[in-house]
Amino acid sequence: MPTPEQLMEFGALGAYLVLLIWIGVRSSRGIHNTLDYTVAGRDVAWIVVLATTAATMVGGGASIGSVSSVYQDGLVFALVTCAWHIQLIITGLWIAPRLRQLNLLTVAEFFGKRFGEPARLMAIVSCLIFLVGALVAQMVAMGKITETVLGIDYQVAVLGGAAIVIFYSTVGGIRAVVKTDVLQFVVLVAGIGAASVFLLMKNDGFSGLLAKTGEAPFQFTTEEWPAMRVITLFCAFFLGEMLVPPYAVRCFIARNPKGARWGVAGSGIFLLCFLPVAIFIMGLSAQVDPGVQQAVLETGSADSQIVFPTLMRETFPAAIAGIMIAALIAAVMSSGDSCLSCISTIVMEDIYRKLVDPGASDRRLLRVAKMATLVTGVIAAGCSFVYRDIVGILEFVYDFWAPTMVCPFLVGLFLYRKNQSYAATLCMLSGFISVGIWRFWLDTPGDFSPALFGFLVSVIVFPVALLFTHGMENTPLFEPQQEDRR
Amino acid sequence: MIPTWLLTSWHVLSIASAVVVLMILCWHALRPGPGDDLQEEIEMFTDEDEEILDRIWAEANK
Repeated sequence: MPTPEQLMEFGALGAYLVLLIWIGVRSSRGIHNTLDYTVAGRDVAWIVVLATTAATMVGGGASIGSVSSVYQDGLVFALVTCAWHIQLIITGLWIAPRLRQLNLLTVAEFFGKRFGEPARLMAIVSCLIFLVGALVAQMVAMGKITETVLGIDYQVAVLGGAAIVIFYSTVGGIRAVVKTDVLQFVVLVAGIGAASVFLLMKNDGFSGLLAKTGEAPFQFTTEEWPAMRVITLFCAFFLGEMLVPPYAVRCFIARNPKGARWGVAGSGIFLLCFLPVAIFIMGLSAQVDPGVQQAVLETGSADSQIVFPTLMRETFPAAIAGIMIAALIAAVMSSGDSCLSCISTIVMEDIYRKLVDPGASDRRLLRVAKMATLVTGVIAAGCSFVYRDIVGILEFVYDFWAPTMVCPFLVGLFLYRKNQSYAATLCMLSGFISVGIWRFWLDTPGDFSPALFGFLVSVIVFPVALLFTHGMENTPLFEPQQEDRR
Repeated sequence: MIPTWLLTSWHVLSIASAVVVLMILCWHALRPGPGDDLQEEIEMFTDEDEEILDRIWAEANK
């Protein structure tokens, strides 16, 4: 028999999920063509871009995972997470306006326009590896969090959560994704902000926390976290999500280049001010909270899913704790729905329209996008029953993204010349292969991040390849593609 | 070790930035956007209404 507190939490979660479905249905009314479905008609205000980018960033890892890591490792982990936000600021200030000006639908389209068909195809493969992996990881996280926090069976939790995400993403496209992100952003910011103030007052400020925990969690580096490890992880976090499709789409949907700049950079500035110190307060408060300590003892280890929700239960009354727990589940959902939306756009634009039926009508393309959302969502939910190692899946996709994509992406934006197609393709290929060798064959020597290693290889290969190929004429296959969208 | 006064200042900045962003978001949500009246007008018509209007339009143009 559930307790009254549990009933309140279930009630808050149920209300939240119904609200998400309602947003999806309402958003579907605004979908008239593929542009509405994939980039919200390119008419999103900067403050909404800010909210949706921040909400996409604050997934399960940046909320539940980070609080748990600060609980275990102290300040050092909170500081390392700054890499995510600094990356957003740099992307927003210098990259987002350029991307918005190009009127793109997908990241692969950019590679086709700059470096020709082989680079475009490699970009499609890289995007799909990243997005499918990230989507499966978010679905696993959704199931595990719901199972741990609310005691619902893992498979039921995955099926229920996935059904809701797939429903509103399919009917409402990116419009529904953006609106649900804004709702999640408001709830998370209000909840985390209120929790950090309340917990700091409860523990007599930072001086009180320092007195209770000792100096160890306030150190910049520790024995377990020497400077080299901190710097390597910081670089891996910085590169791991740089220019990934969910953020690139946030640049595409803005009303104008200025909106893209301040939407994306604003989210980075806001998160840098807001999140690291808030998760530091929550992680340390969890360290000194007897209720959290008891819950962690009962689970047998510093379980990454239990610290944050237990702290919310200890801090807030049941109904508000229920809303916060629902928002945490929605945080995971919103990162998943962004991946789902990006996959459907890739299938529609990069695969179906470019390779299968170039003359397809807009109505047909819209149907393909909706079908792709539905099918991919169902496949990802199925995969989450088989692969349940969230960290393993995420490490895999992050390791392959930066080495393959970041260097040619930046060259295409800032140092573009017409004769770089061969060098860019070689750079992508070398990054991809070197990560494979470093990770699977050499088994990551010296714990040096495969993403960082592969990125360094790609950065070295590009100028060397350019030196040998810059005088060569592009064959038709390597010729940069022209605008062909109607 | 990080000084506590720095953490306190950072936390004040954190809360201030949250308040500012949420206020701008509220202001944006409450402000009537360009073309809102037009959108309402469009949403007044259901798909069936649109079909009837199309038929009337087609007959008028015969």
